[in-house]
Amino acid sequence: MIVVQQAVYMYAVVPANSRLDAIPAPVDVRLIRAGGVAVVAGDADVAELGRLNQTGSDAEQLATLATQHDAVVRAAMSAAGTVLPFRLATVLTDDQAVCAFATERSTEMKALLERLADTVEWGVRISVDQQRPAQSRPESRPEPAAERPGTMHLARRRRELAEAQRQGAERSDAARNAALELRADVLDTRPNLPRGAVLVDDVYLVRNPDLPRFLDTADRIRTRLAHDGLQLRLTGPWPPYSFARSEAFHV
Amino acid sequence: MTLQSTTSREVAGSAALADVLERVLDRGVVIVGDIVISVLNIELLTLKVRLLIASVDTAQRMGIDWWVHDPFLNSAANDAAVETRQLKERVAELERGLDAQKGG
Repeated sequence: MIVVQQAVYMYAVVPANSRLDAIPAPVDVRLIRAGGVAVVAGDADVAELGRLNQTGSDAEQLATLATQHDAVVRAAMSAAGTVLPFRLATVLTDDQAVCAFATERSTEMKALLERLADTVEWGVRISVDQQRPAQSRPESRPEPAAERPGTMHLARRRRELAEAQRQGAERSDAARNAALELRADVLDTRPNLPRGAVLVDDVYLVRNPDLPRFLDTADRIRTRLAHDGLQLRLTGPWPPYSFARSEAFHV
Repeated sequence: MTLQSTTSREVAGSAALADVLERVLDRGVVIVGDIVISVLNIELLTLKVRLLIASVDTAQRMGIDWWVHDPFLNSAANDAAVETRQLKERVAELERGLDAQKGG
């Protein structure tokens, strides 16, 4: 086991001809050029990362690190146009290791950079609106002095359950159709599995020229879904975190 | 394309932390292999970080809580509480009636 005090933190890969002078980065970053690409890198705070690795490390530290990572990636994207973001805390031993990595993966990274040029990532999550329960749902009201309260109770529960199931199916359909409509305007989609109240959780890669149309569609769909008690949450633009993956990087 | 453009919708605020974490922890280029620094157990690091996120308490503090609320479960739970209260009131009423009969 080698013990190191200093290491190189990698934020993103950018095209080789990129310049960093425009990066208003919150941390000191530099470009390491190799293999026809450039790596946006900084000094890794080994001690800090080590603390994060300990059990009981506080959430604040993680939040700070994540926010900082995202800020540098965004700044790099603004300056370079296209980025391949690294996952949080991707650290190599030294500049030589970074050069070796970049040279070895050069072909795949250049192809990915080309594919991601002039695109941004957007997240769309469609979920059941917690603030607006079913409009047609019968109000539960106190029963008048009933002859058979138990039987009436069960009958009412059955009706409510059937109604909830019908409405659930309707909402799932509406959410699925909305996702299909959105996918028509995008270059690529990374769908995540629906779970619980979240019916659609898609990540889209959108070409910048298509962006106004995509956002219009999203606004229109949001209004439509609101009538069904569904909420559309749009986040973006993101650097293409979800589309920078390539199996080729797993050596 | 400047990412801090006017088209930016929800990312600016601190509410976006959950979205940021989701992306920087689970997405992005992952490299695995002998050239990756191993002394820090960086792969272990990322695993730990994920465990941290998986802790419901931590996640909620960070604003990640969408899986906690199932509206059907919640509304069912609320309804059940109302029903229980009504039935208890009914039992109490009947018992009062019985007591009154015994007393009378």
